[in-house]
Amino acid sequence: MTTDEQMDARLRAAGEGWRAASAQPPGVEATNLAGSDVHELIAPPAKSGRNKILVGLSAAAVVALGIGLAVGLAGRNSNGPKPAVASGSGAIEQVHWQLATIDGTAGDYGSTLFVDGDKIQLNDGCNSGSGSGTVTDSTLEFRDIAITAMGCPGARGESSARVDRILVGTVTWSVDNGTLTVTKSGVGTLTYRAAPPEKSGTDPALLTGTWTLTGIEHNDGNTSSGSGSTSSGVTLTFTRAGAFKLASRCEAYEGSFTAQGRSIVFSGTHGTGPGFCTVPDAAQAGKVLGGRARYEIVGRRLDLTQGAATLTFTATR
Amino acid sequence: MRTGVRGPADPQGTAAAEFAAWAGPSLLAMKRLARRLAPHADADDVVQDALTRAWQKRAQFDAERGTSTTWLLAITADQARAARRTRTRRLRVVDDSAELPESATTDTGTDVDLERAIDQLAERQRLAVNLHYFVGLSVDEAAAVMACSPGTVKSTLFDARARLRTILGGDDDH
Repeated sequence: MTTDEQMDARLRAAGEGWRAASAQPPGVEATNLAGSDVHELIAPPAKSGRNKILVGLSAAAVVALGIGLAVGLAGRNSNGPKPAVASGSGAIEQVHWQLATIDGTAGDYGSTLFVDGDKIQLNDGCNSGSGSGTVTDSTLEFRDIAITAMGCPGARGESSARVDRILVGTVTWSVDNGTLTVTKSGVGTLTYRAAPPEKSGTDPALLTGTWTLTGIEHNDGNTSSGSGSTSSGVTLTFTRAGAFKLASRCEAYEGSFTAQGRSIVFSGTHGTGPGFCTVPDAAQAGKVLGGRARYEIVGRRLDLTQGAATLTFTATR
Repeated sequence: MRTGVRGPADPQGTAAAEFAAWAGPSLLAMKRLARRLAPHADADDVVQDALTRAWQKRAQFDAERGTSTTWLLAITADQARAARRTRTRRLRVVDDSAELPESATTDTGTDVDLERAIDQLAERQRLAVNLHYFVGLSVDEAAAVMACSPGTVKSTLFDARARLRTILGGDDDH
């Protein structure tokens, strides 16, 4: 039987050997990105049969630095436009838009756009991302968008590239009869149609129903930990009468809640259950369901944040 | 959206370049940790997700509480954990019992038995072992990533080594 010292030595040797073998993974050049040309780093993805442009570490960096894409146009009025959400006969915000045409050509592009205040979520049909932007009654400026960088072959890759060329910097928009038209001057025009309504926003009434816990994240300054609890089996139900119940196969936490704006206040929270059975995710989540928290609903997703903890739920059909 | 054109007056381009400079030195460690913690996942995907998340949360970074590397590795560990669990769930669903762990055979010279034993460790033990021995962090650095004290890391490593000795058992004549 080995001693602790021998095991320590064996681990050190294994680690050193492993690092040596993986010191320069394929595609890795220097990791000093400081001097890299960001223009190159965020170049449009190459088409690849592997459906992925990432090759090695440097490419991973590309992805990260394809962040902050959506460029604020130089020379734009920095005083900022007045907030506005409506143009013509409709509003751009809080509507899930599905791309219908690119430069007049209809297709099932799988591209979406969602604007909520200064938050933007998008999918170009190949990659998805989110970030911030500024919307006025006629323009939409993309800023600070973090987006994945998968490469899609074929028609999907081509259409997504066309979408990308249009959704850059500042575009003009209008809504008429449920159709959103987005135009990038000299580049092209996209039209979107409103998707079937989903829950979005901070209307307390939207909370009503059952949500399934999908993630718990703790952010403590420089540290972040969490769990992907997609199959946690932990559900949170809000009733119109102002009651809530977090339930797992073992325990439950119940109480009442009031919600206003982005705030939700849980009160009278108490646990029930057999006492000998605990689901860790439920126990962690239960701690959040007391006092004041913030909530946000985007599409089918609900985020509940209290202090450093954020619970993520998905609407249960 | 993506663009390959960025002018000198582009503030977001500057921010991206600064982020690149800031994150660049940590990328190799992030990739190593991703490969260690989620060997069945695409390490590039894990790093990609971690960097994207880091960008989104960059305002939360506090230089007084840790280094960029430990902060980025903590996020990478999160993403790798999610990737690993996704894999685990998939294996359970498809009962893919014939599929053996690949981590032990992917690198030349790998201590196969040890790798398989590490794979059986509890999550925190596996994280500590990988951070310290394989990514090459000091105990203090590993503690920063794991959001605990150096003493806790030391005890976790001690427990992990004991567990590894048990798993490897009597045929451990390495």
